[in-house]
Amino acid sequence: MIYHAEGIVLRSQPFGEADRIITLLTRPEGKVRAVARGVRRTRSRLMGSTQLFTYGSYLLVRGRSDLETLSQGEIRESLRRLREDLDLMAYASYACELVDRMMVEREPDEFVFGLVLAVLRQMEAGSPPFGLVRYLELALLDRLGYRPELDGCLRCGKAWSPGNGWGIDGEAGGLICPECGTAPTVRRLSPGAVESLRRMRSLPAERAGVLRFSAETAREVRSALRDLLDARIEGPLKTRAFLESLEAAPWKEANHGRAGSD
Amino acid sequence: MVLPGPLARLVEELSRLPGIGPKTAQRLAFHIVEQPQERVTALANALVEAREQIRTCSVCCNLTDVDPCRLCSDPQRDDALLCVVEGPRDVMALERTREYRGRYHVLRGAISPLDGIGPGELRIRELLDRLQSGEVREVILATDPDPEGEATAMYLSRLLKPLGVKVTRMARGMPVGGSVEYMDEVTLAKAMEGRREIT
Repeated sequence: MIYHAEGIVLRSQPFGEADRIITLLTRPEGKVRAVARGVRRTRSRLMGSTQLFTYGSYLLVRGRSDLETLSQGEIRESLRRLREDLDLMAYASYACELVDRMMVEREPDEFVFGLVLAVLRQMEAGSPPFGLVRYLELALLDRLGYRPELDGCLRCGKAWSPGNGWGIDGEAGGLICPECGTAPTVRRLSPGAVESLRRMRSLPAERAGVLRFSAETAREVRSALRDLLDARIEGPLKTRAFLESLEAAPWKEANHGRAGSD
Repeated sequence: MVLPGPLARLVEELSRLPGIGPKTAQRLAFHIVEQPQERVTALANALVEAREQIRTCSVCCNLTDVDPCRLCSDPQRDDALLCVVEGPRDVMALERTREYRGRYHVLRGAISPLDGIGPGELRIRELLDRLQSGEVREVILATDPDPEGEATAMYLSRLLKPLGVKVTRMARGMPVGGSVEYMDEVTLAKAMEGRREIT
């Protein structure tokens, strides 16, 4: 089967002497992995369109194996700033690893495709990457059937009203009210952090770039989402370690008012 | 057919090599056992000797049989220029140009967040140590122009600039013998960006 697909390059790994295996999130076929033959040679026509984070149009061939063959590729949006700025590269890598880890191969999802594209585009355009990846985390959880309960207590059903003592239980997947929140797995959150999470959910993906947090809220939101994600994803995310090492890098004296990296 | 024990073991060992599948491993194994004894002994010795004698140069981190390596101990080379590359094969490629007469530093990899390779896995500490002496005036970042190489170059430039050393990046653009028509837009944009006045 030969098919055209719009896709985003989530990952690109060297394979054999001159080939690469690229992981594409495509609109019509979902996540697929494809061999790009000869792409590491200087004159390969596929080189440009297989760069990490590229949004392009691809011609793919599906054979009997679980790997497609990439036959042609054309760049729609190169999103090159994501590769040319160290911090953006780290955040975009994190976003792509998250999507790669959470999506099952060959299960198309128009919504997730639009979501990922919207997040990467806004990152490219200069919106704060911290808020964008937080938005992506929550949106993926919501979409893929792990929708965290943010409207009330998971245990007793008490509706959320801004107040102290509420927390989040990553394992159970949602808010816990002050009366029920005795388990050690419950992480206490300030009312502002809970409101931020709820506000994130109400935003459409195209507007996620407006998200900004105070340093303290940012830390809380990040930890809450990390608890929720870690309960759903097996094993550590490799890109998280890199974001952390950037944060600890010698030139980062101040945090520029952000909560910093993951 | 069940392979005789020693032959099966040879096939197994060969198929561990990169790019060698089971079929190729078998072909190589059958070839080896049909060779004269001294050929095979020479191959075996070469393998063992290479593994035993090749180590990391304590100065530039390239692979070498003498420490410091020949490039580091060559008095003809310019100590003020330091070219930073990803791997030993990049040194070989640059040496083939016969254009560059400075020293090298081999990182032995590139930053790749998606593969879990961070700055800590590279020979960056050693690079910083080398810059302590103040002899180096210019550091040339010659990592690959792919996302991993770019990330590495960006990381290093941020790390090195405060030290007061001049940091340059190898030019990116059109390959010699290429054509504008078939160049991808990113490379072309880079080539326009890095254009130079003809002298």
